[in-house]
Amino acid sequence: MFSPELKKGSIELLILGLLEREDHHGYRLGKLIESRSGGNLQFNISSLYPVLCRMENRGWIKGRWVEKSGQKRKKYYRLTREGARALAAQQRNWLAFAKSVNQVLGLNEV
Amino acid sequence: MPDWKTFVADRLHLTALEEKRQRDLVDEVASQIEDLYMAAREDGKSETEAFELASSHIEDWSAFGAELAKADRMHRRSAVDLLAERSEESRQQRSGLGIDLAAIVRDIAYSLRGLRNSPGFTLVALLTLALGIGGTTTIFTFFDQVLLRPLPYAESERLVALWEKMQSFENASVSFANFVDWKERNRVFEHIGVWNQTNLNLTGSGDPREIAVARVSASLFPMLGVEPVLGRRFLPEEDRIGGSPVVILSHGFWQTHLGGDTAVLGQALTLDGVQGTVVGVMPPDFRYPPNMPEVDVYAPVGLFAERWAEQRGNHPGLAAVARLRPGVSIESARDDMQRIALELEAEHPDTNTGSRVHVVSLKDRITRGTRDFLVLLFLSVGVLLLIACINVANLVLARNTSRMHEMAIRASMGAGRNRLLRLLLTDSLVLWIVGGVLGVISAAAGVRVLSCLLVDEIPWVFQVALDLRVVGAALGVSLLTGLLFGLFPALRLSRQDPKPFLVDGVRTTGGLARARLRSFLVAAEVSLAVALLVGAGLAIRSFSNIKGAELGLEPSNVLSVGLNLPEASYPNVPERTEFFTRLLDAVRRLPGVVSASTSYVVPLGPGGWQNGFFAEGMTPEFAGSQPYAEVNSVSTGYFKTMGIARVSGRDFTRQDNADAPGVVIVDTKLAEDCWPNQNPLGKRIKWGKIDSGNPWMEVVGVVDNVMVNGVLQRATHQLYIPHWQDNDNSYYLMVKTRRDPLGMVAAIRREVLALDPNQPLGTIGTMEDWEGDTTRSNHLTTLLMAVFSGAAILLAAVGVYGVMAQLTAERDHEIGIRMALGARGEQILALVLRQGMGTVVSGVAVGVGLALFLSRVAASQLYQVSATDPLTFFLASILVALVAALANIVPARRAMTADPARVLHAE
Repeated sequence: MFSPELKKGSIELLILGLLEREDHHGYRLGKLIESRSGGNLQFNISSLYPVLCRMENRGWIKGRWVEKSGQKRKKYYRLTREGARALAAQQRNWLAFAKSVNQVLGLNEV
Repeated sequence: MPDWKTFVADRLHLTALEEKRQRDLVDEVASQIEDLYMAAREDGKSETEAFELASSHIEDWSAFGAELAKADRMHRRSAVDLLAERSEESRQQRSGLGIDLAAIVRDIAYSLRGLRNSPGFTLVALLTLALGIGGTTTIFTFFDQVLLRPLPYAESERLVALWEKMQSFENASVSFANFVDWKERNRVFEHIGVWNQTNLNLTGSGDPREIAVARVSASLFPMLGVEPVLGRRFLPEEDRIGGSPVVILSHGFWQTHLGGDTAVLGQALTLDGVQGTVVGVMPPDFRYPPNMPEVDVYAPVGLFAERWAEQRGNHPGLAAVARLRPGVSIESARDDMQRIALELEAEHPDTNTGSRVHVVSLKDRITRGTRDFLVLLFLSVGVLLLIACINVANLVLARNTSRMHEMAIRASMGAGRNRLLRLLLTDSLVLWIVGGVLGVISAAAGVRVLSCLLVDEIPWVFQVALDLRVVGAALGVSLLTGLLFGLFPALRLSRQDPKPFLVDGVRTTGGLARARLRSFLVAAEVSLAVALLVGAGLAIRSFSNIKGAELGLEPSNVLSVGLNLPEASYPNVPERTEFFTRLLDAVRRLPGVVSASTSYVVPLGPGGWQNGFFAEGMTPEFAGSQPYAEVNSVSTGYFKTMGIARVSGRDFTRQDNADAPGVVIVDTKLAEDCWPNQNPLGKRIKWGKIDSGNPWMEVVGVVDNVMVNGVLQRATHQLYIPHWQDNDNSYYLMVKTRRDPLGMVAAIRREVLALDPNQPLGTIGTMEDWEGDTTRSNHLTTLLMAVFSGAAILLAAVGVYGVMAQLTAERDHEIGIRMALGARGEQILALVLRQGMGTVVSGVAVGVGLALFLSRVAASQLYQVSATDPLTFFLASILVALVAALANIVPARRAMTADPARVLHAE
């Protein structure tokens, strides 16, 4: 398990990355992060929702209520143009950051 | 299954949010907890276990609520953002439009938010722009409508004004006999006509009343291309001596006095006892003569021409106007009129020797008194606008510098150079456009106020109002200025390497180039302020000269009442003399009256009467050209009433009547020029030349010279003749009163009606009004220039202060080091001042040069002060330099008292 600070710094990037491929609702986003990280990254509702709320207000993602047949209605989020731009910037930053950290720690040679 | 919605709603408190948003969030959280619950059940957990698991996801509900509320508040989007989003959606649906409307809307929203977040900057910038743009738009509206646009007559560029030039008189009105010859002999005009103005008594419909009459040639209306809205124009056969009397009404008179009755055609008006048949009504927007407001009635000039036609030497205040044939230039018209003038000179040497004709475009003639004034105002307000623009550019520059950090973050977040450029440019454009809109709003008020102030300066024919064209131009110029003043700093900023600004605590100096740019702007501001202040100083000196000038009379508490005795009831001198002597006796008996007299002309008032004379024994060089004098016919007591000093001899008496030998009173100027160092009393004068058959008149008195046409006109020779010896129908009753002169009008009206129940009072005024009229335009120039230059100095001071404060603040670090190394406070002060004042001094030098250039425009408006008056230039330079020095000292002192430890610690 990773420290809360580390998780907090990456959650926006994770959400943006997942939404780039497909629209998801909140529960599914949490589950996807958990499963794809092999259970290392887990976000409960109380940490996920304020982030979604903030990202939606920033205009990076947009939620809409969808009712599929035989299911309860759910709020699905999709990536906006602005969100795609933010994703690109954050990915660049992330790579640069990771590269720098690796360089400092001398992990590239490994 | 538990009711999750109720479960969440009971625990999640989001009262800070909108109700809809609350419901939304509760629904969503409930839906997710339900998903968790369902997943747990599917894994085979019991209901209780699943409930525990799902609800355990949120441990602290109140912290969760606070977190959600915070996230929502911090990033709540404005209506504009939502609009941008919507337009983005629509754009995405119809992609390929090429214009990223959403981004532009968002940029504008961002700019507006930025402006709202720095209210101080916004207020100063917008106020400055609103004043600058509003002032310029106001003055340009006048400039445009008076000077740039054609007159409101058909093909007005072919209209010319004509008047005479006489041997000893540069500008004389047209002799009717000469006009008749011009009309017959010219080869250049399609139409030519004359007009003058008079007041006639209207009787037979209610109280007797004096109305304003324009006497015009029948050719005038066709020449101007105007048709009456009702009835017809004058016929050529009506415009001649002995023609049947007809009149055309102005629209205003028809509406207010005849109730707009269409049955008015064919009815008769009794004017000075003569019945004139109404044949037409002019359109409401028709304005002619251009300088004569509120004409009531038009009448054919030929009806009045009997006396004028006989005497070629009589110039009865007629002005001529003509329409050039197509393709004929003003120069060829001048040549043709020169030819006619030479023919007439040969045919009538006694009256036409040296007589020539002025031909000038009608537009130039009408605007001659307004042109210099408006050009001066326009230049001044333009300078003010420049200062305002520079100030705002400075403010924007300073603001941009402090935004380097923000820009650097944007750049590192991946914003390209074009993106930053667009952002900064949008900022500037938004500011300038909002300023432009505010400016147009203030211009709408400004035009209205100035129209009232300038009502006597702007010829009547121009109806000045803010129009769409000028509003469009103002907004367009604002846009361009915003682009220009925004692009330059934006380019500069976006080109800069943002990296250093990411480091906390870095000094956000703008670099050497920007400091130089701002110094240049400060110098420009100072120079413009100097130029404007010199202009204002000259206007103030000129005005105080005018105010202090000796008029030669005492205008306080003097009332003038026009009285226009109709020819029909008072055809001869004895009846008129009888009326006026009885009236004077009655008025002098009224309580509150100090003295009373009659006068043919009001000094400082409109009109005048000039006549050529010959003085016995006058110096040969003076006799060489036909001398002219301002003539006035006055009664006993005139000089006392007007406060004109008697130098020698006596006043007129009742005995100086038609049976007595001719007498005359002259002014000191005439006496000195005709008979230098001699006693003028007993000398003789007659009208016309030495060989004229006119009787001699003996000089019985000498009085002070009076500035009859106001102090701006050259002093003229003045000659007074007694009212009772010969007289006309129209006189002014002049009354000196103890208290408010206008309070006497009612009593005077009673006395007039007691003598003749059909006799109305004519123009009523006070000598102080007449005096005010002659100085009003100068007063206005002075006032407006003072306002402009005051605003200029204020703006320049704010600008200089702002820039110096910013420059000094940016040098905090350097100054701190200097002080830490042992520099004393005074040395720092000197350092900062030296830098600031260098800029100011070069600005003042350029300003003096600019003022030398601009003051040439002002020269024609100045009275007894040179356009290059050294004192004014010196004082204006010193004043601006002092104000700028003050604006410099404040930041310099702050730098001096700075604690080096604190400054350096801030690193």
